[in-house]
Amino acid sequence: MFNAPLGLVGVALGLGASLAGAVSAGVAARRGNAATARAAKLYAGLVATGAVVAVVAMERALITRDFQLAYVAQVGSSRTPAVFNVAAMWSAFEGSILLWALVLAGFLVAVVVRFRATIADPLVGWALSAMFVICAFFFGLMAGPANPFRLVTPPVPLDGPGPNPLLQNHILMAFHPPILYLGYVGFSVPFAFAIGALITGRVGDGWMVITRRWTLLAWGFLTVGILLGSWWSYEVLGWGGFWAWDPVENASLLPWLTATAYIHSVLVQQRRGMLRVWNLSLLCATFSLTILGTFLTRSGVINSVHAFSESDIGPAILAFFVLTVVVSIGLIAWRGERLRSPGAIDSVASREAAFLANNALFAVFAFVVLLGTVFPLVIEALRGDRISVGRPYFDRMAVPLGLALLTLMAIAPVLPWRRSSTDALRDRLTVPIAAAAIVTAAAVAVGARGIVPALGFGLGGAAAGAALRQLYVNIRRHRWRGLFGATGGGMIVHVGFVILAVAITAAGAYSRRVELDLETGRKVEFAGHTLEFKGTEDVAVPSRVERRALIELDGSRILTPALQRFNGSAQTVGTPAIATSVSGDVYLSIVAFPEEGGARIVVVIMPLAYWLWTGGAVMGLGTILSIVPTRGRRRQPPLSAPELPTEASDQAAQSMVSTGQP
Amino acid sequence: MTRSRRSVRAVWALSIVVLLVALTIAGVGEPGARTTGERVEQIAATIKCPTCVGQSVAQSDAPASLAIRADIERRIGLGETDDGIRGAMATRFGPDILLSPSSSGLVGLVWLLPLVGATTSVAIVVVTVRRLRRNRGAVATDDERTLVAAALSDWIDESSL
Repeated sequence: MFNAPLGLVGVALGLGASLAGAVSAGVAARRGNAATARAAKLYAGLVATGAVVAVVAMERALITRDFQLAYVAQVGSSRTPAVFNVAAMWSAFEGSILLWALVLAGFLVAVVVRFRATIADPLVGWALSAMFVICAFFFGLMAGPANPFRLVTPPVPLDGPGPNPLLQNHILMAFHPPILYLGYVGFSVPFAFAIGALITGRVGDGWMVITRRWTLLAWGFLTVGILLGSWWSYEVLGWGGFWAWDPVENASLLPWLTATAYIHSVLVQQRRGMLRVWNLSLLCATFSLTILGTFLTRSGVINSVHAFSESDIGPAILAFFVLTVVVSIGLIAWRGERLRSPGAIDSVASREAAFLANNALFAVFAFVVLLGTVFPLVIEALRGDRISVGRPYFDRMAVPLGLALLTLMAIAPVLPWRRSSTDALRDRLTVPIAAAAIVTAAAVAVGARGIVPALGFGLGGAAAGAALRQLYVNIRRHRWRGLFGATGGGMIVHVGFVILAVAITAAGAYSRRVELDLETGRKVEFAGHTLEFKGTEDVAVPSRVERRALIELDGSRILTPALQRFNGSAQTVGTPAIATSVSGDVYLSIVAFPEEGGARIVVVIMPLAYWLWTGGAVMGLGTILSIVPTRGRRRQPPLSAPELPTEASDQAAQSMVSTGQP
Repeated sequence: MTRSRRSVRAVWALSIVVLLVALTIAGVGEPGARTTGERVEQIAATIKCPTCVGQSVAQSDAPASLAIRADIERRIGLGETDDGIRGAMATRFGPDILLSPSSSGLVGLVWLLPLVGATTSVAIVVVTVRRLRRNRGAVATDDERTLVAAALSDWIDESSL
C-alpha cells in the first residue's frame, strides 16, 4: 500500500509550496515585482495539489481499509457503511486538520483566481502571503505532531473500531464538519486582507469592500454549520436538547458573535468612515477565536461531549494563536495614526449609533461566553480548585443579552443614517410596535405564560416587523431586486434569526422532560400525549446491532427509539425517535431496556423545534441573497453622502449601497 | 394633525395597551406547577455527571447519573427543596458537581465580570458617541483632509480586482 508515502508527499508539497508562496508573495508585495507576484498562482496551485493528494491518499486508505495507517486503524472499520467511512476522515484530530488544510487550500486558490488581474497589487500580495503563512502552519502540523499518515506499530490490525459510534448514526456528520470548517477557514480571507491593508497602510475601506462577499460567505457557512451541529446534537445525543453550552459549541459561537458584530460595524465604516480600529480588531478577533477554539477543544485542556479528537499539539496551536494576536495588535498599533476615524455621529437616534450599541452587546456576549468557557481553567490554575460553569450560568447570562439584541433588531433597521426626527422615528417604528403587540397577544392567547418568554415573543415580533418593513420598502422600490444585497438579504437573515430566537424562547420556557418506565399494555400520559409500549424489535446489520422499542404515540403512530451497538463496541448509543409537527416535537429516547421487560425512556416535549431549523435555513437563504451581486452595482464613496433627512431619501441612499443605483 | 398622523398615534396607543395587557396576563400566570418527574429532570440539568465528559446528569445515562437521578427523586419525596438537594450533592461530590458556579469568593467573579464588562461597554459606547458627536460640523484640518484623501485614494473599485 502506498497511501502513507503518497499522503506524506502531498503534505510535503503543501508545506513547501506554502512556505515558498509566503516568502514569494511577501517579497513581491514589498518590492512591487509583478513577475514574482504572479508566481503566487503557481504556489497556490501546488498547495491545493498537495492538499488534494493528501486527502485522496487518506480517503483511499479509509476505503481500502489500509490499517497500516494508524489513523485508519483508529477510525476505520470493514463494517462501516461507505458514507460514514468517507466521513471518517474528519472524525478524529489528524483528519480534521487535513480537512482544514483542504478547505484552506481551496480558499487560497479561489482568492488567487478572483484577484488574478491585480495579483501584483501589494495589498493582494500581502494578503496572499498571510494566507500562505496560515497554510504553512496547518501543513506544518500535519508534517509534525498531527501527522495523519503515521504508520501503526506492527502487528497491523486486521480491522478497526470505526469512527466514534456517535459519529456514524446520522447523515449530518457527513455535512456538519465540512460546512463548519468552510465557515472557520473562510474568515482567513478577510483576515488576510486586513493584514495586507495594515502592512500596506491602505486602511481605508477598499480591503473591506473587496472582502465583503468572502466575509458573508464565511459567516453564512459558520451559521449553517453551527445550526447543523445543533441539529445533529438534537437528533443523536438523546437528551432532547439542541444547545448545551458545551465548550465545543461555545468555541464555534465565539467567532460567530464577533463576526456578526463585524458584519454590522463594517457598514458604519463604509457609510460614515468610522470604527476602523474596531473593525480591524473584530476581524482579527474572529480569526484568532477560530484558532483559540481549536486549541481549547482539541488540546485536551477542556473536556467536551463533542470533542471526538484530542492530541498533544496544544502548545503549537496556542503558539499560533499568540502569534496571530501579537501580529494583529502590533500592526494595528503601528498604523494607529492612519486608523483615526474621520467620521462623526450626528445623533443618538441614528443607525450608526444603534450599530455601536449592537457591537457593544455582541462584544459583551462574546466576553461572557469566553469567560464561562475558560473560567474553570483559570480557577484551577490559580487555586487548584475544580469548578464547573455550565448551562445554568450561560442560560442566565444569555437571556438578558438576547432580549437586548432583539430590542436593537427591532429599532436599528428602521433608523436612518445620520439622524432622525421624533416624528419620523415614530412613523418608522409603528410596524414594529404593532407587530410586537400582535405577536405577544397571540402568544398569550395560545397559553404562553411568564414575563421573560412573553417579552421574547414580543421583541421577536417587533424585530420581525422591522425587518419585513424594510424588506417591503426595498422591494417596492426595486421590485424583485429588493430581495438581494445588504438590505434585502440582510433583512431576510434578520427574519430567520427572529424565527430562531422565538423557537429558542419557546423551547427554553415551555419544553417538558420526564423519564418514564413503560410496560407492555399500560398507557402512560404526559403533557397531553399518550404513550403505549408495544414491544421491542431487534435489527442486525453489518455495522451495528440495534434494539428498537415500539411505542405508540397518541394511539396513531409508532415511534421506534433504539439503542445501538456499533462494530462490536461495548458502548451503546441511543437513537431518539421524534414526532415532528409545526407546533412542536415529541421526542423519545431510550435510557435502558430493563431485564424484566418494558423500556425506560426519556420523553421531551419540545415546542417549535421545527422552527429552529427553519430559522437557520432562512438565515442561510438570506446570506445567499445578500452575496448575490445585483446588476449595475456601484460603490459608495467611503464617507457618507450629503445629509438625507427624509425617509424617501434615506431609502434612496440605502438602495445605492444595495443595488448600486444612484 | 393630519389623518395619517392620527392613525399612527392610534396604532401606537392601541399597541401599547395590548402589550401591557398581554404582558400582565403573561406575568401573572407564570408556567404551571411541575410534576415530580419534571422536577427531577430540572434539578438534574444543573448537576454535572461525575463520570462523563461534559454532560449533565439530565443528559447522561451513565450509571452514576441514573443513581443521582434516583437520589434526587428520593429527596424530593422526602420534601427537600431544589437548593437543598443541590447542596446535598455538592457536599457529597464536591462543589464542582454543580454546573452553576458559586457567587462568593474568587469564583463569584464569573458572575461579577460580565456586569463589569457590560458597564464598561456602555461607558465606551457613550464616550465614543460623545466624541464622535463633537466632530459634527467641524472644519476639516489639513491633516483630516489628508486622511480623507488617503481613504479615497485607496478606494478600490471591485470591478478592477
